[in-house]
Amino acid sequence: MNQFRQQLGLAFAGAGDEIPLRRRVALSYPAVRMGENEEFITLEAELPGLKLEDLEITLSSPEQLSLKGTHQLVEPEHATWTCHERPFGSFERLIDLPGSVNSEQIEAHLDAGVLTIRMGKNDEAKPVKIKVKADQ
Amino acid sequence: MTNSVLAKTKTTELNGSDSVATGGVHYTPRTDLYETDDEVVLSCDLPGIMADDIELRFDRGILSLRCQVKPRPLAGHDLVSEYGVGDFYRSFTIPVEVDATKFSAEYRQGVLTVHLPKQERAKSLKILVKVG
Repeated sequence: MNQFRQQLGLAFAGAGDEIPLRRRVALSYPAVRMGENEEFITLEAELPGLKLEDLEITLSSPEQLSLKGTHQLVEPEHATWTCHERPFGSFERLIDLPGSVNSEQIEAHLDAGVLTIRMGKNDEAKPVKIKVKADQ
Repeated sequence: MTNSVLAKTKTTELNGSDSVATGGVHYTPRTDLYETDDEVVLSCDLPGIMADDIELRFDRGILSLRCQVKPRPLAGHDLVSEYGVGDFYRSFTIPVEVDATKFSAEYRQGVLTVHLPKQERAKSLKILVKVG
């Protein structure tokens, strides 16, 4: 698991991380969650405020997904800002997948600021059950 | 409000927590807060919730936001989990007199925007300077 995290080249918001918070965040926007079962790999990212037309999802290789987008900046006239924490500007993140996925079996939803991508695995990425033969 | 990091911040309530589902842990939503001549506007990142689960309260100059978040389990087992999913809580001291009867709030694309119109007497006035 740790090795997998390192492979991704990402920093995680876990306790004991030595990378400063700001950098840790900048390196890995958007933060993602990923899970898998035998058939699918599911990826989730929180992208509140992002419009569908400002998001581009590309399968750059069967094992790598790219998330690209732009958070539009709202600039009201004559405003005094007290707090400006929400992200703005463009981002791009490449995510290594744990196995190859079928480009024709990808579904993505952006709902209430949560992006969910469900990817069907290629046969070689699916687990194979091995029968153990017993001596007669 | 000084906590201007780009990540959701995880904090634990010291007492009076009612977020039993998340073990008393809640997240601080990233927020933009600005003031114009007429109103104070607040935008909070609250991804993955229903508008009905947002509880906004204004009491003696403090606007508090509490929001229940339903867990979103991923299918199968987790591989990567860079953020947590849980309830949101944050409170804001509103620095000017606002008219609580005219508040409005909308939730769109995971962002809650609250408009707090100022009291007439709190609005800034332009003063014309005459040449003598």
